[in-house]
Amino acid sequence: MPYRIAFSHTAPPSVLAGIIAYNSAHCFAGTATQSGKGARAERTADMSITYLLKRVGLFVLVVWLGVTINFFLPRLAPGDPIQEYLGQLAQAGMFVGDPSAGFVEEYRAKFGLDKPLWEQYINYWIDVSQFNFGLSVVDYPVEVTRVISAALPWTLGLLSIATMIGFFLGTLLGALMVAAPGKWKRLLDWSVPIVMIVHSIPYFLLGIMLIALFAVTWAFFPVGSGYTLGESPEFSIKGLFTLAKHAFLPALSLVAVAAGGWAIVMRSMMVIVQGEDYVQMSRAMGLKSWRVFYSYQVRNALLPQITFLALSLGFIVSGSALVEVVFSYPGIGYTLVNAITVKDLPLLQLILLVVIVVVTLFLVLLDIVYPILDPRIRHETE
Amino acid sequence: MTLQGSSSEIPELSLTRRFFRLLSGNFLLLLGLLMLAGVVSFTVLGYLFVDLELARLNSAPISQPPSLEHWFGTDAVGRSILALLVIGTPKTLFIGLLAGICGITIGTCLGFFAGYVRGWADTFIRIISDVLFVIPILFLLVFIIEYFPVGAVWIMGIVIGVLSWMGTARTVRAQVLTLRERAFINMARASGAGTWRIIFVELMPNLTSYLAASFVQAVSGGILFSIGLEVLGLGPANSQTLGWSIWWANDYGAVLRGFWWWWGSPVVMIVIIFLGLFLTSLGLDRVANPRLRGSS
Amino acid sequence: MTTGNGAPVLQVKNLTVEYETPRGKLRAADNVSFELWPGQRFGLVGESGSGKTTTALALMRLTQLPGRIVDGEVLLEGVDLLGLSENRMREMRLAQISYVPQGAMNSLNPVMKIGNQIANGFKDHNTNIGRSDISDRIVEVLQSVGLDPAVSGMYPHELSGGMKQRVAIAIAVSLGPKVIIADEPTSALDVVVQREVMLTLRRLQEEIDAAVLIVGHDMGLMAQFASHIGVMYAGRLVEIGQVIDMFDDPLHPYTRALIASLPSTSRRHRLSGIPGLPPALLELPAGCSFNPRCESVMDICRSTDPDLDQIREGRFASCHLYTGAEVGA
Repeated sequence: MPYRIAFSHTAPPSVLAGIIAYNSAHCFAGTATQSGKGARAERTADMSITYLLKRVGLFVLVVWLGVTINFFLPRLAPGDPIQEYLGQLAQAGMFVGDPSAGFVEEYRAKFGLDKPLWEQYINYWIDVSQFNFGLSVVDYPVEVTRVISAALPWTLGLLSIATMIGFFLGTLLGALMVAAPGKWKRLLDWSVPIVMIVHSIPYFLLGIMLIALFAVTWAFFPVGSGYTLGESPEFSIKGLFTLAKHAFLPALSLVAVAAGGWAIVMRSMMVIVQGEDYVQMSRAMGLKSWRVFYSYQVRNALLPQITFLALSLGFIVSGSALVEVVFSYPGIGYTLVNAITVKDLPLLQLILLVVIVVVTLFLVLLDIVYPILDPRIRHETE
Repeated sequence: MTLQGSSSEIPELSLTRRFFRLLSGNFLLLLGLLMLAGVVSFTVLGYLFVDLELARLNSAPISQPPSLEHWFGTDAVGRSILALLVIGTPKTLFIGLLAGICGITIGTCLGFFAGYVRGWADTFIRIISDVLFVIPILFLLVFIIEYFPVGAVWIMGIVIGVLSWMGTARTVRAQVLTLRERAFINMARASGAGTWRIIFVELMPNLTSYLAASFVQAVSGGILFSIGLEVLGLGPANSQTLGWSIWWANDYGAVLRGFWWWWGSPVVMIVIIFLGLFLTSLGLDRVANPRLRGSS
Repeated sequence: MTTGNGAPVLQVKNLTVEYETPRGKLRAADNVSFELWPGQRFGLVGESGSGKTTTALALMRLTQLPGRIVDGEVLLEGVDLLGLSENRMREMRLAQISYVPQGAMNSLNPVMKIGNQIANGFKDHNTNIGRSDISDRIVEVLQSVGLDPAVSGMYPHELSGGMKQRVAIAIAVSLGPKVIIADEPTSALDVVVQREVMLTLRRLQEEIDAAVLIVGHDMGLMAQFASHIGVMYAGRLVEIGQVIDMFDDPLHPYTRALIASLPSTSRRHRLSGIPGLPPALLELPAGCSFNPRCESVMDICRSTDPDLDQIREGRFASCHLYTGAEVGA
């Protein structure tokens, strides 16, 4: 889904840097104010509890808002999911029972769609609190929680590994592009245009190209799906190999594009950091070059990257739709697109909830971790 | 020590002269604009010389590789890929432009407002943007577009724009916060200039190159959004944009059947558009941020 | 120039730094030559863009592209720094020749505790200090600049500007260097703190008997701190001499104008500025660079560039007013 890439895709570095500079960890926190004078280290300890409570409170608020919007949006959309569902089944030549209104009403009652909206809302919350999210319309009568738990491991496995690899490769490349010693730097200068070209290709299009090349023209890899069709994954060396073979091309398309993005942002952060007085100072102190590189340049340039890493990990669940559709990978994204096209309400709602919870969770996690990485933030909380 | 001296006169250059001077030192910007100009002239020439009737179903032989007659080949439902590209490219660009204009306008206004007024306005705008940020826009898009099922290319553009102003708003706010602390703003305030005067006369010129870069970025984000939706088969159906070309190709298994010209042509066109936009935004960014010019 | 005893600790000969710009090469430092003696405090003064910071950085070989040191020698106790390998030069920095930076606010790594930043200096040089002794040394060094040892566990943003500059000085003296280069060390501080920091620097410099090259634009502040002054204009050193001597009898018309522009309590006169603007380095006037602004300009000044000659004992100036008056260089 374009959401994740739309964020880092073609944003010029300093636009990102601008966002970062003022919103870095503070997706929710207030304006940064540089504390002026004096030592205030002692206050950090008792501040951290209110800080934590605030974060968690905001988490609850966002989840509530999310669930509510999530509840209303599908219901406001035109079109009747039951009618559509029956129509689809009928089109497929299935027996749908007596197509009289009574049958439709029966389905309506089954999904609770016949009650007034406020009652549906309350019931929805009761169900949410009991982890009872209802039965899927598409896979009737399978519980949506089971549909999701079958799809989730595929997405988490593929996306989290691809995101982390992309992050490490890209960040390292971006850092070296600026700070690599002499001859290596000249070599890396050549990589800049290549990285830029790859990065400006939307990853799902890159995926199509990869399939055409490495699955069709040269059949090194399977054209799609997560495992050999008709089989379920087994935990053996052969099983893992099959898994890896199926995940390779989708992962490659994600890594190649994402690494380019990380590299470009990291590179411009490195350029900015390189002009900082403390880097000049570290050289004037005659520190070893790896220390200047790691502890002074990378350590500081990395801070905004961490923010974006948390965001992209948060968007893993929702960010997978396109790549999964292109590779017919049996994850959440694939399920999501099916749910949208069929208007499978219960399934849609659960996916949305998972997405919102995961995103918010990562943002809260970021808010908790970031002050450890950047001591300046600790003092800006109040 | 004090210095007294006449301020040296900087000769006023005409707008076009300044534009070309900007380009000559900025290879990225030049290349990016050239690529975009290429895309636009492809469309214009196409509308002049290509038979667009060939974009109808069954108006051409099916699944032909590129030939002298059909330069980009034909698809499995008997359409000329060239005609589809000529029709699809401006539609896709249009969605992007519309999304960019909406997004940048809303984002700039809200960003200025938040950054200049601060206090409650800032908090309010930030909460809205955070909520929009967390809730996947795809869902909102799908449901909003459901209301306007027919021929809604322009609605798609506006909707994407309305839902993607957050980045711009944050950036502009950040810039305004920095700029308002600078000396010349204080000077303006001390000399009794009104709020709006400060915004438009003092702040705006400082932000223009910056906004230009954000605009290009917003256009590219809008195009990406729309193509993503279309490839998923969502959004206004059959609007013959580049994204839908890819959806058709994917739906008919063009990749698996080896019809490289079918999926390849729109992909190449999209990549050129994105690369052009990306280079342009990088180039503009370099104008806005002299610090980045250093190592290139 | 004669002060002190024995041999000069730092000799700079014909140091030239060029910057590559889109509109051509410019010489930010042009043929700069001077000597530093042990214990001496040498002030390098000039307007912004006169090449003083460029010179200071070039002495440590910290010139960054597009700038390049194109000519000259920097002899530290007879060893030419410009000829050393990059790693040998790295070892010289801090241990032999150290640097107090200009921007007090940003010269410390924001994400590293002060103690660790000082420790890095010890770790990366061949000192005889064991790892376990480093923390003791950090306490010593912090105390020597008048800071509480607790500062060691703090981050830069928890310190005031003056405290940060003290930390910078602590780092600079931590390995007992022979030469300290201070680049406008107090420019970001308020006047009271400025004085304290300068006094700290002076006290420590005397303790370890290091020579200090201090760069600044404030002739008044320099007069209080430095023992000798070099005046730079448009990338060139135009006059060198002892402070008192120079204030009593400035030779170069530019120095004269600089001193005249200082407010004074003993003399009553109208504050005067220097007419005109410093020249753009890409469009230097022919002959002496100062000739368009000079009160005593002569015909020769518009065609021939004067050399920096010894005018009398301990006094050097590059001005045609004194051509022929020199005492053999």
